[in-house]
Amino acid sequence: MSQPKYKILIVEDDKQIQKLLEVSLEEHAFLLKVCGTQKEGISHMVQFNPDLILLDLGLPDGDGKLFVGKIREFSNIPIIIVSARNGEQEIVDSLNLGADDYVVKPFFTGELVARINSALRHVAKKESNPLLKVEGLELDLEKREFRLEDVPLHLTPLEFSLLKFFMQNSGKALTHAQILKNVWGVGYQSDTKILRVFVNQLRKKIEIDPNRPTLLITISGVGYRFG
Amino acid sequence: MAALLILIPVLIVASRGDMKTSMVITFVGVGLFNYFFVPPVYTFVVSDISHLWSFFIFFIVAYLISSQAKKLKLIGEVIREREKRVRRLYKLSRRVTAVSEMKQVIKIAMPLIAESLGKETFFFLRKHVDEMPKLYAHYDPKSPLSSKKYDAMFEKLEAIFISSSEKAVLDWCLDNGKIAGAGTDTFLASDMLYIPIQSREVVYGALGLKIKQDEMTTELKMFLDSVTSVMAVSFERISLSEKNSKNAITLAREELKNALYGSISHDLRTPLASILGMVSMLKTDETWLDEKKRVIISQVIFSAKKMERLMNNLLDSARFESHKVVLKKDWCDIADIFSQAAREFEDILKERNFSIKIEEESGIFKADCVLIERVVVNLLENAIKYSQHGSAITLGFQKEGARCNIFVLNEDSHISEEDLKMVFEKFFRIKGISDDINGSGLGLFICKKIVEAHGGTIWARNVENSVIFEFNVPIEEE
Repeated sequence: MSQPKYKILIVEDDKQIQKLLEVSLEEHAFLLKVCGTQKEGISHMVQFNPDLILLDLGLPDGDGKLFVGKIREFSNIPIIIVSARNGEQEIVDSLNLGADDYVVKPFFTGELVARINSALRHVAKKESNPLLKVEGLELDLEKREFRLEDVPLHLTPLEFSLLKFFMQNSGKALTHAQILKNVWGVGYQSDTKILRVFVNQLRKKIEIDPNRPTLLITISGVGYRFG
Repeated sequence: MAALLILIPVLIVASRGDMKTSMVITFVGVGLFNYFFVPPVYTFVVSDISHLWSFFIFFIVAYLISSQAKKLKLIGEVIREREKRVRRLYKLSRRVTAVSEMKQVIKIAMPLIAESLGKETFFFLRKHVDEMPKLYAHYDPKSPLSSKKYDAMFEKLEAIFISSSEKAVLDWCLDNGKIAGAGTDTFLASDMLYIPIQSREVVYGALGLKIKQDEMTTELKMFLDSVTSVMAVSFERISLSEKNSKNAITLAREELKNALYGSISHDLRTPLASILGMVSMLKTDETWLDEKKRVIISQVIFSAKKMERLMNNLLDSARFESHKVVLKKDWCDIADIFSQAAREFEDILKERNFSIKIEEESGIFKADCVLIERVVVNLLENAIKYSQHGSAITLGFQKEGARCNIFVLNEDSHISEEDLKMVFEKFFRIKGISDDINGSGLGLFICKKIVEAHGGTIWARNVENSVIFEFNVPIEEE
């Protein structure tokens, strides 16, 4: 084992799901700590010093969203939410509070591991790299240019900022409000119509089949995920 | 001197305001005075003309005094009556403030009105604008029973006949919120006077009074105005507080229901999630899997997924049915919705001739995107289930006036006209379909509920060799 094992803190109260997460994640060479309450979660944050948190929103000692807020007060550690179906609003709230991603129960372990790896990667590459690459799409920050399969893309300034924001946050679940706030600015958070229009335009430029996007994916009721 | 003495009884009688008696007394007094005192005495003959003048003056004085006294007496009576009414009104308004039921208000107000006017009184209730007014209470001050037992006024109302012409006057009164009937300018030939009990836009009912055209005075009208406005205010207060408590109850019920659905769905889903998760782990572990175990595990996953779908459908249909679908409207892009729906069935759609047809520049409209996607997913799932390998499935969108139309076309299939009418019913499943197609008969029911919550319609039809499921939702402009 050349690189150190990533440490994951699991905050989940259901015993079976705990077991499932333990078994499946240990197999992927993660170091785990499992607890069932937020209180324990906070104390493990210090003692265990994890690289990532898997958080169930339905915990016995209070709203999981608040836990996200509490963690964000002192740490930028990636947080992945484990949520029930029909919980779009909860997911949006948690993401807006600073969670990085989410998976919906029932989930497949493959999907979960992919999310975890993506979130960990995201931390690793945060160090500013002038050349970002997601699949065939390249962003050259020095030249301020996007290239799709080495062909430069013609984008309007807003499309450029939007795609840049997506590129820089690739793999993350982004809420409408987050995107609007970062690309358009404070005050535009609820103008989802403009966002729909621009995403539509962008897809026509970057997707092979804009009707079946593979890069810029919609997350129903939540927002978008890029890459 | 003696002449003045006769004035005393005249004054006494006249001051009582009785014109006739005072005239008689004056006449007798003058006669007696003439007989005993005016020369020639002991005759009724008057020799001095000046005495005739004084007799005449006596009459004038008696007339003036008694007429003034009569006026004063009348004024006094009016004042007393007014005071009595004010006192009654005060009593009424004081008593109705403590009351929490419309019936109680009527129970207090009706006898008060009827007794103070001495007239038969009716109360007509109209709960809804489209409803026929109903005789709700009747109080007759002349009937001996009523004075003892006030509940009697709500009983035996069927025996009271209200003619159709009276009903027409009543309807007019309620519809226009204006006083009508005997004693007014409208429908004065009717037997009764109808006074609407209304506050702002709401007409709660009308008071019916059996009076005659000439009995209507300004005084009476003022009294009735005051009484009815007191009644209207208390009716309004009661209906508002009823509405309030009803709202509070609905709110509490909603909350309980939501909590219940939340916990049931959480409790059902969590174990299922662990089953699916663990089994899917087994599937990826190649080391111990032989063909037999692989088949078994696939079947476990298939069944668990089926159960999950069924559970979701059951929970959703219960949720949509038992309370109003709460929409979270936002801007949706139909291209997004279609591609999301198609993603769910990616693998199987490869085996179909699948296409998306958006005949508009922009497919952006306002709706609850998650729920609309749900409808499209359910329709697409059905289309896939009832189609063969290689047949065409098309998702389409077009704007038609103020609505946007979304359809799912399924080639090479047919639904009998009889079944078409039934497909959106709960638990309905088309007969003769093999058991391999597993459905709960809830998918389309949920679709219908969602579309209806958006103010749209959903329908299915056969076109040539295809079945089209189509729905529309109104386009909202900002």
